[in-house]
Amino acid sequence: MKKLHPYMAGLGLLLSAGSFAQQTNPDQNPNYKVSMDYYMENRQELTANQGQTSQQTYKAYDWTTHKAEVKQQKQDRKDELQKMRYQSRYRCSYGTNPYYPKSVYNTPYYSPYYAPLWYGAGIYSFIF
Amino acid sequence: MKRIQLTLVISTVLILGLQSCFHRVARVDPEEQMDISGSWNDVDSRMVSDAMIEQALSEDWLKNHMAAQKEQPVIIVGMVTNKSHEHIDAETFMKDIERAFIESKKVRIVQGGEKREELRGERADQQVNSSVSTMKQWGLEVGADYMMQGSINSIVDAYKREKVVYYQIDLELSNLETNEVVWIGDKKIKKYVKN
Repeated sequence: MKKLHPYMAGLGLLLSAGSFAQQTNPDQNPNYKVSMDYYMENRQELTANQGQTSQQTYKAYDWTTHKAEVKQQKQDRKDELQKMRYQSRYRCSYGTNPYYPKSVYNTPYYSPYYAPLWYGAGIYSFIF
Repeated sequence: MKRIQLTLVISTVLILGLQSCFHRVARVDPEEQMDISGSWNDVDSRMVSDAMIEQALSEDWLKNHMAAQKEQPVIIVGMVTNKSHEHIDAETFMKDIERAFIESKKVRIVQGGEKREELRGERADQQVNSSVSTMKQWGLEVGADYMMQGSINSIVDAYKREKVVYYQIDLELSNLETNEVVWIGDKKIKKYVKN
């Protein structure tokens, strides 16, 4: 078998590589590769949202919606104040506040029934 | 005692009977125009798709492309940005447009985004699981000539119980090699709502 000339083999390789490379246009920017490399690197991220709707909505002022929101805010504030008033009213009356478990009140700090007589004199905290 | 029992039975029957009157479901024609709140709905979506299909298939960009390339243009659908005051999914009218393009046989569509990733995943799977005669090859995808992108904008003018809402939907076709915008289609919808 006849041996292939090394120059011929090199030329063949060059030609085959050239067919895969991007065809150049005489008007093409010589620095196109800078941009191409950047976009080749980020192409997954850049094409991930194709065919989707990007939601960049804004809140439009609507008289009726605004009125309903103000009413709701007032109601929420009223409820919050009522809750606070209820909590403060029953904080002093031992064991009746529904926002605290009974076990909290069944301690010497809250209930006079569980506190020894000498607790009031400050001896309890001194011993324990 | 008997009277109480009788009252209970009658009231239960009445409550159950009335409940069937409160809840009602009916099938309606999808083409029928039904506006309830005045927000964006299926009628608006359909108006947009009809207008866009008509504009896209009748304007000069298509003739110019056919004259230059001698074959149908290939389009990929890009992103639609909703900058309005409502949550609007553009897929409802974009799919109508894609379907009309394919059916017209004047424009070809290629898959993009997540669906394209899924296709490539399946092709990769075929390389190890399918028979050699049926497995699909890499590097033979059709490259798009144009990308379709769009935006949805709105203006709201409201006072007391009256409201005027204006929507503007724009779709653009840009040449993927030159970035040249070859077509812009638009649809404007104005609504007057009184609560």
